[in-house]
Amino acid sequence: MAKKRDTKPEERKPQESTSVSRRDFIKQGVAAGVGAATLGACASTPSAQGTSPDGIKWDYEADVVVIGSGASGLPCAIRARDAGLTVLVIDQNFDIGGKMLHSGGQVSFGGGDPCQLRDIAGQSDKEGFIKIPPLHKPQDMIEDTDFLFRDMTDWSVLDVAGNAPYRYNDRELHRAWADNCPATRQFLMDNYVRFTRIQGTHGTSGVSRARRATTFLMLGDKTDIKAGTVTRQDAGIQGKSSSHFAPRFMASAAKWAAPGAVWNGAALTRGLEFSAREKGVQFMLNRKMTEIVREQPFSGRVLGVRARYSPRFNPDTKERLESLWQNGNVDERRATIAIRARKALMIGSGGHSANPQFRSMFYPAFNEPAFVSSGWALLGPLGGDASGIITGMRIGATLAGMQQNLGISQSYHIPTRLATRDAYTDMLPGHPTFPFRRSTGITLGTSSYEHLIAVNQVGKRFYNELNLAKRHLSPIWPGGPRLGVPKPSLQHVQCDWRNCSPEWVKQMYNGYPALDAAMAMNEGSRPPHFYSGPLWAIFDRGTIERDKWDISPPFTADNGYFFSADTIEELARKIEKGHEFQRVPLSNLAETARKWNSYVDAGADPDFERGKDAPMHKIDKPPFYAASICPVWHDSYGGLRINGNGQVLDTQGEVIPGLYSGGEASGGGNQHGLGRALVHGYIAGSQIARERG
Amino acid sequence: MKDEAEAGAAEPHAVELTVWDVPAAAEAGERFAVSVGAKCSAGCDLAGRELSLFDQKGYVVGTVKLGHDIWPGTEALYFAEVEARAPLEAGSHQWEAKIAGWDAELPHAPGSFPLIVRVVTPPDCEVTVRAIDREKQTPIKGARVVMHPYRAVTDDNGIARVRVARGQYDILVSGSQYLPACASVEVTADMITSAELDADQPWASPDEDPE
Repeated sequence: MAKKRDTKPEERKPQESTSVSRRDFIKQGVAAGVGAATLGACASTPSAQGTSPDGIKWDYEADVVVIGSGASGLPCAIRARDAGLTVLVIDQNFDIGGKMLHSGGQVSFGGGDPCQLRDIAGQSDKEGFIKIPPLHKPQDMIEDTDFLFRDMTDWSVLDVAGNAPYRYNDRELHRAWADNCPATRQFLMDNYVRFTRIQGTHGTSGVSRARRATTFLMLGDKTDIKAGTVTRQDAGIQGKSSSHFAPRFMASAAKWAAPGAVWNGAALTRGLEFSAREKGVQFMLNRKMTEIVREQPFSGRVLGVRARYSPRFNPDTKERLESLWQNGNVDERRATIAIRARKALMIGSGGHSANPQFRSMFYPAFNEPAFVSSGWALLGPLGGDASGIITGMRIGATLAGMQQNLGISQSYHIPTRLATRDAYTDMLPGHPTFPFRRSTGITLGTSSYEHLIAVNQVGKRFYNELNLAKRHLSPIWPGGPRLGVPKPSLQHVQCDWRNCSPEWVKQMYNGYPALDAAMAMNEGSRPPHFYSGPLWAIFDRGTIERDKWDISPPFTADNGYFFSADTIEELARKIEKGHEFQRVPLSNLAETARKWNSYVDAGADPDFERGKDAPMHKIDKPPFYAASICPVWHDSYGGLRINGNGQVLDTQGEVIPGLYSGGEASGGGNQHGLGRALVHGYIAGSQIARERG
Repeated sequence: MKDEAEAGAAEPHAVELTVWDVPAAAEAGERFAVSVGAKCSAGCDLAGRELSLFDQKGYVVGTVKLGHDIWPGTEALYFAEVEARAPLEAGSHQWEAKIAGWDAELPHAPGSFPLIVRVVTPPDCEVTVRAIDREKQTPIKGARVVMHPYRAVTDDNGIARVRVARGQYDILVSGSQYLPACASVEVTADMITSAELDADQPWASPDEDPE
């Protein structure tokens, strides 16, 4: 059974005070503003509840309102606060961080950022945590922002599936991104974020240099962001528990930093959150933005937002979920309120990966609601639902980069994790949202697919299972033929036609359209939606014995995503009865299993050519199992069109006054992950600070 | 009871069979054993019910009564081990396991399950395969070795001995959490070979590219 919320109200870890009322908001806003202002004019005091000259009855107001507390919203909030502005962050979820909290915390910048320079000089970090020498030679990290910009807009580089990950990156955006990479890295480090040694480069973050560092904390007796420490309990216990602090187990970062270092996105998120709260950023959680208010429907300045109450409740205890820390929280519970943004509104609410209606505009097969975005349990059904993009469109914002959803393997893929709907992460019991998923899932390597057959919603195989979870890697440093780049590392030539010549492509092509095959229409796909339906890994006791799978709780649960049966026929019946998206019977499952076993007897698989690369095994030893295979749409590309200052543009290409965006809510870049969003937030916050007059 | 009896009269319980542990390569004329299981759709006690194996021509080649125990991990799968003698002709033979229906007490429908018995001529060569972790240069226990239709599993020393007939084979070797390896060999006499395997790495999430 999943654990209940791991802290009682009286055990929560307040940094300073508890959550504030509206009246206290004014007092604390003033105090924090005077104490934390670092730039420009004095912070104006936020006021609550009044009618402005535009006739709108505002319930709250602040200089800057940020929608979303994730990788773009949080840096923006801190930058604006550093400039002395009052900042209110609203988030539909009950806690800070968005997907950043469950990420790997791996951040690729470059252009001569402080971590590169540190490693080039052979130095440790300022706190002396890093004990290992640099992992790369200096020449693999030496670059400037011009070089980085060329790398990120290199039209010639292809991945092994023939996709061009850098060709369509918006030039203005990536010029601004490259120019701000060094400053953003420093900004993060100035706000309690610790980075390991540079180790490699992230997917879609360039071929030519090593640019990635991972965020970490040191294991210690107490969780102390200022000291840079986290307890083992808060970091998670491998195979046993996650925590409210870190929804995923923080693994050892010894090979990148030092013994006792642990890493993932919790180190990044909690560091930024701590800093934001310390500086007086206010947070209104459980609050979903529903409307952007503009002076005129499609013209004039953005004035603020309306937002509704969006609490989440533990499905077992029915208690409202609460954030880890509460200082600076505004606990507003009215159904709908209006919040005025005196200077700027920043949309950092994530992308559209969780919205089947929206995402299927660009990949029709993904209209299937069974398959969710990463962080489905962590963020709830309102996370990544395209709402920030849609509300922007409603007031005239245009879109950019929607085609960049296609062909990026980090985006949508088949995870190597079975038996959980939230297949992107391996969350264990201990985090408040674990009760929503109830199972961690069975995490496999690609080699383990040798021991199962995969079937669609009507019980038929659809692809060579050994290739099912393979995904083509992004052409990143150090490049080389295996990643689709003719010449590795320093030999690589930017923007060279030889990188994408037909002869080269024929030689290096190694794409696996497994996801397309998995989500293809089948006999169970009915109009008007033609859903492809759920996918199932079918295996038996022999699989468990051979490959040592752990199918005990919490890795599996009685949650409709894992079934056990005495016979194959019974297994099909259980799936049909017990899975919420199994719309048709798995009428072919028994025949599929029989046919598969006959192929094993024959030593050849005429359907999908297994048996050439790895042994085949019968599925014949009871009990028989079915575990869900859930494709995940991790991060989306394409959203509100922004310029190099993070300002949102309308259909005429004009800036919408007062409106900003970044991260997955914005479009124009193919860069995966935190590197893009963090810089966007930094840019937007910096621009807001410049325009505050 | 009355309702159940009426329901039973109208609809016999289905009996589903399953068969496992069929040898991958049974030597011609040699005795072998397979496991058979049966489950009633309503979970009825099937202990003592008779189950038979029929060969390709429809002759009974083995009979057994289901035991009283439930197969571990199942809800109501009664099982037994039945012995039979492999045909003398090499090749694939289509057999069938059957259980007759019965009307006493609650009616049960008959059930059947097809199985393939692959018969080979007696092997005359032994291939010794050693599975090794390429990086650590340590033996891999429990690795699967397939030289179709022959199979074996490596022991604590990472060694498997596969008895095969002379001929051309693809040797497939895979270990738990290792990427598989494959090589082609011509077996003309006893031989020794090794397979170096690379460790597989589960991706915790796409953010953590192994690159």
